[in-house]
Formats: sequence, structure tokens, C-alpha cells
Amino acid sequence: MTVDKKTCLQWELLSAWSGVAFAVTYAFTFGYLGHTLPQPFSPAASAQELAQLYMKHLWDLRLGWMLSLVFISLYMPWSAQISMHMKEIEKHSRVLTWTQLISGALTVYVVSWGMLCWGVATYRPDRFAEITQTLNDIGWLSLETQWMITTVQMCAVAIVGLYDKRPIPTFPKWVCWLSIFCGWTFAPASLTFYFKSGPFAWNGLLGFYVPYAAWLVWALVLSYFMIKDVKRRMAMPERLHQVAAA
Amino acid sequence: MMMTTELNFRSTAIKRMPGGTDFWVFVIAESLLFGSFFVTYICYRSGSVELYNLSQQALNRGMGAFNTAVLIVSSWSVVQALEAVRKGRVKVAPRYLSLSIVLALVFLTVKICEYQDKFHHGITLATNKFFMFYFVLTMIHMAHVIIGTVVLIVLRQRLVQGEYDRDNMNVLEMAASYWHLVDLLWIFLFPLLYLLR
Repeated sequence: MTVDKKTCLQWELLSAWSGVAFAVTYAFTFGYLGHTLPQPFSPAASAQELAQLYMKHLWDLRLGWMLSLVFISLYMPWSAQISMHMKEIEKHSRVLTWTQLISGALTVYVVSWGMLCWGVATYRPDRFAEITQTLNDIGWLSLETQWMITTVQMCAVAIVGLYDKRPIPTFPKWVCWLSIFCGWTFAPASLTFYFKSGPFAWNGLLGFYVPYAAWLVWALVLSYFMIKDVKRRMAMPERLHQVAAA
Repeated sequence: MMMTTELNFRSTAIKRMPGGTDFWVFVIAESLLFGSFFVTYICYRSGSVELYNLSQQALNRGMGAFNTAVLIVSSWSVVQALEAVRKGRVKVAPRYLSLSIVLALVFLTVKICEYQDKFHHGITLATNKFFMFYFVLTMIHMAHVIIGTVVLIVLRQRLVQGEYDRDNMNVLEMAASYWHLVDLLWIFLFPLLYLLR
């Protein structure tokens, strides 16, 4: 006996909703507890200034990074669910479906690594300030400069979605174009290697606000359409499931 | 019958926006993003007007103006290509696209010459905030030009192979809309970086 269809669809629905849960928990742990909102700690801050900021907000930061490292895992079933939808469109191959899956998994790694560094910085806040600064730098530059991994994920979904000619496509074409746009807003973040102030630094408009907002908006929009699609399939009579699977 | 009417209305609505309403989400989003670049530049400039004016003198206005004309003509050429396809003159259309592609390559060549001149004089994106904006904004724009050029080359090839005609030119319209966007962005960038004092 294998898992019945109804249970499978419930797992899919939960996985689609995990995108919403990811976005909400990420905004709370990274944005609020992590003190990246209203603005991240400046890359131009001296080691001493940064160490003082870590001491000042120590409990928030520790809790924030601890929780964020746990809840980032929600991105995994969500990415798997995206591939579930993609495989229904990419019928004769799976290359983009699997590329999306790999990219989603690696995104979890990239983001986790950054938050781990920040968490480690809070572990011994009385260490040499330069070490705290180095950990802070590694954390930020890990997230900022490894953007292509997530952009590939977003473009893979978009490309497959654009070729979806079914009467009811899972992802409307505008969602696909939005995915491509959002994915490429990350590109200026590579310039964080060059700047410690201004719009291209990791606390600037194009290094921080635009890319992170774009990523979360994309996650929410995609989740909405995946939830809608799973619910539609849940409401389908059994005989139509068989026709659709043929 | 109502569904047929609805579908006809929808297809008519889609035809009014070249390339389709879905693609325009991308065009509008890009426009807003570049708009935010321009506003950011103006805000930063207002804090150090003298530095920006002085640094601006290192830019070659002649080359910038030439490039503006090049992109405008290339946009015109893309329009002509699409008109030719609409009128059924499918064999003429690729020639117009070829002109657009050549002009795009001219634009890129001039841009590279400008950058080389700056580098030769020791000016980079780290020199000051003005040059940070100059290099970053024009390089982001240049990336868009490169992508557009590749798209035009691929579509020209498909046009020659007979893949498009007046009833099947949605992809051509999307590419044209993208190319006009690239042109329009430069029309804003050029006065902002080269002329605004």
C-alpha cells in the first residue's frame, strides 16, 4: 500500500504554504530580531562600533539567528513543491525542474551560512572586535554575493512557466516575468565587495532593500499560485485526476 | 456564447499591448527599478553638486550624444522591422533587424572605448561617488543592451527561417518593447550623467 492521493495532496498544500511561513518567519527573525530593519549595521562601522552594536542587541540577535536557522528549512519543502508543479509542464525532461530543486536547496545553504556566522559572532561577544567584524562581513557577503544561486532558481521556474500552454497554467505569464525581474534585481548586490557606503553597500537601496523585498514578494506570489493550483486539484473528481495524469 | 465574447474581448485587449500585458509587468518593473536608480543619483548628487559637476567634465559628451542617436535609430529600425512583418514583407524585416544589431554593437564599442579612456586616466568606480554611479548605471544599462542584442540576433535568425508572420509575432513585439525600454532608459541616463549641472 502506498500513500493515498488525498494525503499526498495535503502534503503538497502544506509545502506550498511553507513558502508563506518562510517569508513571514524570515521577515521577523532576519528583519526584526536581526536588526536589519530599518537598516542593517553599516559596513562602514569600525570594528569597535560594530562590536558595541552586537553587545547592545545581543539577546535579540542571538534569538533571531537561532530561530532563522531553524525556520529557513521551510524553504526546502517549498522548493520541492515548485518542482512538483514544474514537472507537470516539463514533461519530456526534468532538467529545469531539477535545476530549480538544486538551486532552492543551495539557497538554504547560502542563507544559513550567513546567519550562522552572525550567530557565532554573538556566541562570545567579548572577543576581539576585529573577529566579530570578520564574522559579520562573512555573513553579509555570503548572502549578498551568492545571489546567482537563487536567481537560477527563479529563472528556471519562469522559463518552464512561460512554456506552459495548458488551459489553466499554474503560473500566469506575468508571474514568470515577475520572477525573472525579481531574480535579476539581485545582480547589483555583487557590488557589495566594492562599497562600504551608498546604495550598493549591503545596507543600501540596491544592496539590501530592493533584492530582499523582491525575493520575499516573489516567494509570496509564487506560493499564492501554488496553493491555488493544489486546491484546484484537490477539488477535482478522481476520474479527472486519471485523465490529467495520462 | 458569453465565453466566446469574453475570449474575443481578452484577445483584443492583449493585442492592444505589444507583446501582451504579461510581459509589460516586466517592462514596468524594470522602468520603476531604473527610476529608483535615477532618484537615488539625484539625491546623492544634491549633497555634493560641485564634486559631481567637476567629475562630469571627464565624460565625453560627444560620445554620449552619438550613442543616444545610435540607440534611437536602432529603435526606429526595430519598428520598421515589425511594420514589415505586419505588412507581409517578411523578407525585408531581417534587414532592419540587422541594422539594429549593428547599431547595438556600435553602441557597445563606443561604451567600451569610453570606459578604456577612463581606466587609462586612472578613473574607476571607486574614484568617487559620481563615478560609482557613472560606471554602475551605465554598466547595468550595457548589460541590458547585450541581452537585447542577443535576443535580436536570435529573432533575426528565426525570422529568416520563417518562424514569424503577421499572425504570429508576439515574441517580436516583446523583443521590440524590451529594445524600446533599453533605448528610453539611455535617453534618461545620458542627460542625467552627462548633461545635468
